[in-house]
Amino acid sequence: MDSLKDKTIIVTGGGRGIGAAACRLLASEGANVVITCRTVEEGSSVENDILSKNGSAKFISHDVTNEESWRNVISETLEVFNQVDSVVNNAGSYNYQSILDCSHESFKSLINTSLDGCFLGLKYGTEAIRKHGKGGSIVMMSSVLAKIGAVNMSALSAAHGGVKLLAKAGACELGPEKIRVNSIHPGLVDTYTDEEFKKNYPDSTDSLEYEKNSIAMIPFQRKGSSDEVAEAIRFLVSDESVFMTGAEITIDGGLVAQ
Amino acid sequence: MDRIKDKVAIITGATSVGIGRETALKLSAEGALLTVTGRNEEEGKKTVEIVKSQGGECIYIKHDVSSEKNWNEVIQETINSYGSIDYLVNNAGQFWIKPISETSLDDFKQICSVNIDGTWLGMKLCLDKMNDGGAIVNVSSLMGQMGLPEGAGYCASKGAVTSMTKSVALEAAKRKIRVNALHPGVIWTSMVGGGEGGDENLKNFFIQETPIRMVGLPEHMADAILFLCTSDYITGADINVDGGRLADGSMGSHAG
Repeated sequence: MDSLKDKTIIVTGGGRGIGAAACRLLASEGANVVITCRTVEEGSSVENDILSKNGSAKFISHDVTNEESWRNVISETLEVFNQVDSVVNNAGSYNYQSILDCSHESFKSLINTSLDGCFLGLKYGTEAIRKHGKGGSIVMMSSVLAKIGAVNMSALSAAHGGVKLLAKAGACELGPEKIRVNSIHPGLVDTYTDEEFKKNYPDSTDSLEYEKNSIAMIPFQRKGSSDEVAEAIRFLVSDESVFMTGAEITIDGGLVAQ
Repeated sequence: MDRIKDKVAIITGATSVGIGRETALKLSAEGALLTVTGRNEEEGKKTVEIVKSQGGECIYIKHDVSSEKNWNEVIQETINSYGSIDYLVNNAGQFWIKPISETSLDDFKQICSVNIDGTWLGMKLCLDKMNDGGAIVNVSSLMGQMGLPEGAGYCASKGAVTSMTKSVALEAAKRKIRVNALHPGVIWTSMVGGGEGGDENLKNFFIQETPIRMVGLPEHMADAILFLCTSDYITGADINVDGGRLADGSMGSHAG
């Protein structure tokens, strides 16, 4: 299991959910994994878990909306692992509100975390990957909301649509230097328990109820798992996808095919 | 290296140096038992020889994908040899370009019979015999999503593959069988005037018009096909393996 041997990969939002699953999987495939997130306990816990299995990992506290914080993540990563090969822009926020209920402040806050965070990851990630000149892979976590509309998800749709095309712009601009940029579009993913969801997103209304009612609409009749999305991340940061850039991997149990 | 150990895969169009043969080698290296098919008997047997020389299990069956009778034979012989079917890779395809005014209706029907009927028959006849949780990978094309001058027949046929993939994905979902389309850009094989001894000027043209500045190789498609065989929650998806060519949107904008 060494498809990622000697690669150094930064995963934002790596403390929980899809990000944490990706960190564990990438480390098990031989990568040096840099786990970044705001919540120190969560990031450290993933770091310790990987280290206890003889994996290579480092947690760095990180606010993806802050440029100084990005500079710090890159310089600490270079200090510890000497290079950056991939950035997985996975951190994002959540908002489930009608257009009329969603304040402009809430909208901007969601865009700031989910879209601006990805832009900064693309910018600082590219700068870091360029240093060794061998190219690399940047993964953008978008969602099926970049492909279809959904009630009460206007801010998320706007952010994820932006992320999808940001990836394509990056693919065109950075392709000549072999830096690949692809997007992943999960549908419903079993990331949180009800309790965790309420704790993490106190402002959102009953979206988990909405998710439960939505399972009947998924052709596969179930949500995806964090591990299944992590596998798509592994594929995109590995050399198995060296000719893929500007591509979308939709992972939704058939949700948007109908 | 045992990601699909003892799974049974049928790969069409696996009788020449190209995506089919490379996919056979990849899936075999991960433990799959193979049926490779195609019209060229000599090359088909060569694929079997290469797979076996690397320790794999492989049979060849002569196959015109537009023939329902041939498909029934392929399926029956696969089941006789291995007992079941897990994956179907509809890779066989035809490509040519000609101005529409010079294309006969017979020409048009011919490319459609290979690319559309061939894929449709494979899905229709394999689905009932496939194990739950299996996968179908249809090799479509970027040209199933965009236009190509003088390529109306090819584009129409690949557009059909792209859309029927989603339809069958929805039908097969209840059995957790995944059905996806891969969209290669330029893969440097004889089909596009490439491969070994291909035209270097043409190759350079393709490289310059592809954002990642390289042509694709059969192994790049094989890797993506393996990924779709092993990924449990992806179905009805379109995945491009094109070096950024569709993202660029304007073929040739980087050239010259």
